[in-house]
Amino acid sequence: MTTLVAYCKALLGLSLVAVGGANAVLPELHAIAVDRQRWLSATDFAQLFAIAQAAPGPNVLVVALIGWKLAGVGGALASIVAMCAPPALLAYAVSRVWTRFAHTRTRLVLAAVLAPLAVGLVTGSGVAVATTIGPTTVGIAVVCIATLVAWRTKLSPIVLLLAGAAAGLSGLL
Amino acid sequence: MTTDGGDARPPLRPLTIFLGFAHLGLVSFGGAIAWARRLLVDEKRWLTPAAFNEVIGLGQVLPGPNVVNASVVIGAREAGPLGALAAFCGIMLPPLALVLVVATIFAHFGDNVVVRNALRGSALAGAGLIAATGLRMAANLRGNVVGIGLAVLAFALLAIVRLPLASIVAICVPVGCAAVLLRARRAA
Repeated sequence: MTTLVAYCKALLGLSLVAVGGANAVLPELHAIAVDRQRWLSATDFAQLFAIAQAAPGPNVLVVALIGWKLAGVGGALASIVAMCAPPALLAYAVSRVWTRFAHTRTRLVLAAVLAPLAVGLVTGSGVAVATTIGPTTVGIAVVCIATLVAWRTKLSPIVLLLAGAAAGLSGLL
Repeated sequence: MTTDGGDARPPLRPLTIFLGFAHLGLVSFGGAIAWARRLLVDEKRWLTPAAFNEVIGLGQVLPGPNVVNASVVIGAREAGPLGALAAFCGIMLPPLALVLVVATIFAHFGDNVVVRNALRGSALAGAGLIAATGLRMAANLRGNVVGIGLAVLAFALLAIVRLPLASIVAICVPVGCAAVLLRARRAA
């Protein structure tokens, strides 16, 4: 229970700096849950991440899976609310005044800053997550190929994840 | 304020909102934005393309899960707080139930070496998918020197220096604002 409370507190703080969405907080989640607090092993984290990626739904489900691992179904629900409620309330509040600010300088400057910030954070998160899994040279090649294919083609993500799983069966990653 | 751009349509009821977003949540493989456009704009016609871009643009600028934020805003505009709750529960609970079933099954085989190796490969491919999402978002930055510089700075601070997210945002936002304003002044 104390673990769940600590996890939710960390999520409340992270939720309002999660520029780029749930994908951007993955490295920090790993740092907190695996490296610092040792709530999970690195393998657990990678497995939950893989399952969440393969399942349909918002990317933020990985947060709930970690909550589930820590404290069951209640943990999943509590963690998803902790992660989603503060930004959702903020989004709702801002949406009420957003159109009025359509062409103001503040909104244009913020958009000009936050959009590239999200690009850097999401791309960096992919690299950081791969690093935390600790791949072999073959594993790094798999990450690079998956990145290139997903970036340059319209291949379904599910096909890529299955291909990754198939490559994983070799035991060389 | 309407989300349907003047289309004369009565506001959606909370149950309709819940079912619509549950549909969206359950088909959204590999990130929900592309599916959200197809379902909410093309099929259900709940939003015009312009209204959709506005809501998603808002979600992308604000912190937090983009599509969840957008869902809550759409639900709230249609049916107030109850609509927001219906949208949130719709997009979140059915996929959550599904993923928990899958995770429970995998938990029984988590120590099996074949399952472990497969999940490891899948996780590495998943990391590539996330990096690719970022690279696709970067297409909007073409020719924008300040934007590219800011993206590279955020990338380096996260992936190489490994600063906490809050510190990166605290560094990049003021630096970015200064750079954008300075460039605008020079261009003027």
